[in-house]
Amino acid sequence: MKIENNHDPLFTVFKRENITKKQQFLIRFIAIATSILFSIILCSIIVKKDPFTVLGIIFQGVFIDPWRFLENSALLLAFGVAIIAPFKMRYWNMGAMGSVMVSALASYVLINIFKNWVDNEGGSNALLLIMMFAASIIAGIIWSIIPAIFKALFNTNETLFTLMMNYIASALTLYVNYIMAKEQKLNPGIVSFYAGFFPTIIAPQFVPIVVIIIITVLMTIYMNKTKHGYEISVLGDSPKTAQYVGMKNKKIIIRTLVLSGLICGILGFLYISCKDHMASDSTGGSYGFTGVLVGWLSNFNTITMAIVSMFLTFITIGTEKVCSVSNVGNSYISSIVVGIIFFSILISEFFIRYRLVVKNKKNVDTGGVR
Amino acid sequence: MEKEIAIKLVNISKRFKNIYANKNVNLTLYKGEVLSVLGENGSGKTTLMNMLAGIYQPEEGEIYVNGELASIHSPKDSFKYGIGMVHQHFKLVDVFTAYENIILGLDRKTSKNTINEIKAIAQRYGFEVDLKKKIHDMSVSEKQTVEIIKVLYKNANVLILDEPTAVLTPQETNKLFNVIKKMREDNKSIIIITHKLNEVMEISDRVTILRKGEYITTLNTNETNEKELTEYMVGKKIDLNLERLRIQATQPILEIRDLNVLKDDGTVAIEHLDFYLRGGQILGVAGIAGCGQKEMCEAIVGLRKFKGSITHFGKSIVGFSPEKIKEIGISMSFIPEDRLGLGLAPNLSITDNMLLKTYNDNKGIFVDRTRGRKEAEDLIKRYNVVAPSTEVPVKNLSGGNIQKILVGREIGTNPNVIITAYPVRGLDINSSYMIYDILNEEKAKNTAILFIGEDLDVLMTFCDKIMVLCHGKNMGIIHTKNTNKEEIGLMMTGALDLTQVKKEEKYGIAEDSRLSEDEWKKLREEDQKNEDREQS
Repeated sequence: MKIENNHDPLFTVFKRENITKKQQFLIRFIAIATSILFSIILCSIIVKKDPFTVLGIIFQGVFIDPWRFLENSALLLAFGVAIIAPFKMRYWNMGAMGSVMVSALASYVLINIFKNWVDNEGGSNALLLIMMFAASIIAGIIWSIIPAIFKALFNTNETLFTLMMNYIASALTLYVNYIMAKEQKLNPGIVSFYAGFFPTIIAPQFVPIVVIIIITVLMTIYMNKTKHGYEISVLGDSPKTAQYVGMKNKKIIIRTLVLSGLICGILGFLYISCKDHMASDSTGGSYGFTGVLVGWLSNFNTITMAIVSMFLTFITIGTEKVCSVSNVGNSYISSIVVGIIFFSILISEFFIRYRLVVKNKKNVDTGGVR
Repeated sequence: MEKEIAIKLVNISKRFKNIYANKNVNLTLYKGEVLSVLGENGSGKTTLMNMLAGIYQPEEGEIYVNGELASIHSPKDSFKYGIGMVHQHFKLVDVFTAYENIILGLDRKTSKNTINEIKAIAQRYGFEVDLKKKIHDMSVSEKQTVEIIKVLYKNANVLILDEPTAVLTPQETNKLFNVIKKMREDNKSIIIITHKLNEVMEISDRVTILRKGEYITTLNTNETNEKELTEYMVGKKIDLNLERLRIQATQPILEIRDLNVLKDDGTVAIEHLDFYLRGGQILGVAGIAGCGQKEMCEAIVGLRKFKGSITHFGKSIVGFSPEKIKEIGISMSFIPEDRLGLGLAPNLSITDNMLLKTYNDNKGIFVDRTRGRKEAEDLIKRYNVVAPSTEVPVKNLSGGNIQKILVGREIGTNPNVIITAYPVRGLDINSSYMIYDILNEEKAKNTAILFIGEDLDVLMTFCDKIMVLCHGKNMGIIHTKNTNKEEIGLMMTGALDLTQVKKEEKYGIAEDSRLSEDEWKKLREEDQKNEDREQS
C-alpha cells in the first residue's frame, strides 16, 4: 500500500511550548505598531491629507483636552475592573453596561425628585449626593445579582442572562425618562446646574479619575492577596475542588457579583454626579463591551488594563478629531481604526500561542507538539 | 506456522526538546495476536503508540505496515493503513450520539444501511451499545465501547488500546477482554498498553517492555511470569512484598452505625453500613468500582447528605459542615478517574494548592502565601516531587507528582483520621510505594486510616483488615491474615455474605466502643428525629 503525500498543507500550525517575555513583547509590539501605521495611512487616504498631518491632528486632538482623555481612559478601565472578579470565576458577566445604566438611572430619578428641594428650598446637596450614592449602589447590585442568583440556584447561562439584562436596563431607562417627562416633573431640556452635582475639585473629571484609580488598586489587592480573591480563582479553576475543600460555591458566586454590581453602582453614580447629569439608554456607551475586551486582552492584569485603556482612548479621541477637522461625517473612522487594532491584537495572541511552519520540511524540529 | 507481520517498527526515536521519549525502539506485531506494551509511567508507551496513530512523527527510524515502508503524517494516514487507536482520554463529541460519533470524519457517505452495519459489528464482537444515546449520558465503559466500534467501523486491522482497563470495573474489564479475544480470532492485531501485570498475563500473547523510553525486550507471555516482567520493567529487583506495619491499635476513633447514603440519581449507594476505624490500623475497602465507595467518603466528610450516626472520639459529628469536619482532624483524599477533578485546582500553583484546605486558618482577610510556599517547599523535599518551582501550575506536573502533592497535603494537616480512595491510581510502582510508605508513617503515629483500593493483592498485604462492599452493603470485615483472595472475590460479587453466614459476629460494631449501647441507642433516636424533621 502506498500513501500519496501531495495533500500536505502549505503550512502547518505548531503550538509554542516556551515563549520568552521578550518574544511576547516583540510580537505584541509589532502587531500594534503595524496596526497603527495601517490606521494612519487609511486615515490619510480617507481625509486626503498626508500621514504626518494626520498624526499631528491625532496628538492635537488628544492633548487639547487631556482631562477628557484621562477620564475616558479611566471609564474604560473601570468597566474592565468591574468584570475582573466574575470573569476570573468563569462567570461571563456581560451585564456591566446594564448595571451601570440602572444605577445611573437611580441617581437621576433622585435628582428629579429632590431638585426643587435643593435648588429652591434650601435642601442639602450633600445629603442628596449621599442618597444618590446609596441608591446607585443598590440598583447596581440588584441588577448584577439577579443573574447570579439564577446561576447559583438553577445553573442558568449567565452570558445570555446578563446580556438580556442590558436590554431590559436600556428599555427601563427609556421608560422612566418618558414617565418623568410626561409628569412634567422635569423638562429634560432644562437641567438644574447644582442639585446632584459633585463639587468640582481641580477639574470636573478629577473626582471620577481618582475614584476609579482607587477602585482599581483595591481590586488588584482583592484579587491577588485576599482570601476572597483566592476563593474566586479556585472556584473558577475547578468548582468541584472548591466544593470538596468546603467552599460555599453559591455564596461565592453571589458575593462576587455583589462586588461587581457595587463597582458598577459607583460608576453609575459618577456618570450622573460628575459627568452626564442625566441617564439615557446610551449612558456608558460602548464601554460595557469594550471593557470586556480590555479585560480579556490584558489577561485581567490591572496594570496592563490601564495601559490598554489609555491606548484605545488615545486612538479613539485622536481619530474622532481627524474626522471633525476634515468634515468627515460622524466618527466612523475611529470605529474602523479601533476594529483594526483589536483585530491585530487578536492575531498577535494567535502568534504568541502558535507558530506557522511553511510546508512540511524534513526533520523540522517541531518542539514535539503539533 | 510462521505468522504474518502486521506492523514492524525499526529503531524508532522521538525527542521532546532534547529529551528522548523513545530511543531506538523496535516492535513487531503479528496478525491475529494481542501484544502488551508494558512500562512504568513515562516510559514512552503512549508516545510510541501516538506515532503509529499519526499524532506524532518519529525523528528517526522506520515504520513498516504489511511489509511496506509507511509514512504516517496524520491520524487520517494512520487510518488508511488500517491502524486505529483508542486513547486513554476519549476523543468523543459529548453532545453527539454514539452513532453520530462513529460516523464522524468518515470519508464514505452514510446511508440507511450504515446503522445496520454498525449494529452488525457490535453484534459480531459482543458489544452492548445504544447507538442513540448521547455521549454525556454514558458511563466510562460505554464511551470506550463507542471508541472501539468507531475504530472497527473504519476497518481498522490494528487496534491500539491505551490503558483501556484503568477506568473499568473488573466485570467491564472481563467483557472487554472477551471482545479483544474475538477480535484476535478475527485475525485483527491488538496492542494494549497497560501496567497491570495480571492483565498482561491474562490477555496477551506477547509482551514488549519499555523502560525510560528504551526498548528492553519482548517475551512470550506463556514463557514468563509477573516477577520477571516486573524486573524488566523497573530495571532492578524490587520487593513485591509490601510491608504491613504491626503496631498496637487504639480504641476506635471513628465509629459509623447504620449509614445510609443515596447516589446523585436517588438510587441507594450505601445501605445500613456499620464500621469503625482504630488508630494505628488500616482498614481496607474492597469492592467493585461504583458500589458506594465515593458516596461513603463524601458522607463522612460532610459533602453528601446521609442517614445514620457517625461519632469521632465518641462525639457525634452528624450535621457538621465540611470545614468543621476538616478542623477536627478528618482528612479525605479521593483520586478520581481523571486524577485532577477533586482536591486540586489544576491551573493554580503548587503553593496555592497547598493552601486549599488551610487558607482560612490565619486571621485577617489576606491569604498567607508565605506559609503556603514553605509548605510546598517542604512537601517537594520530603516526597521528592519533581517540580521546577513552587509556582508552577499543578497541571504541568506528571500524574505521580500530582498525587504526591494531594496525598502529602492531606497528611500535612496532621489528621487523626485519613480517608484515602485510590491513592495509587495510575501510578507506577516506585511512586505507589512512596505513597504506601507515607501512609505507613501515619499509621505509626496512631492515625486511623481508611484505604479504598482497587488492587486486591495490595489490600491483602498492606491493610490490617478488609471491609468488602457489594452494592452498598457490608459483606463482612475480616483480618487480612485470616482470609484469602478467593474469599474476598466471592464477597465482592455478593456470592458470600459473612454478615448472614455468621450472624453472631457483629461486623462493624466495636466491642470496646467509646459509647455504651444505651448511648448509641439514644444517639440513633436523636439522629432519626432530626432526619424525620428534615423530611417533613
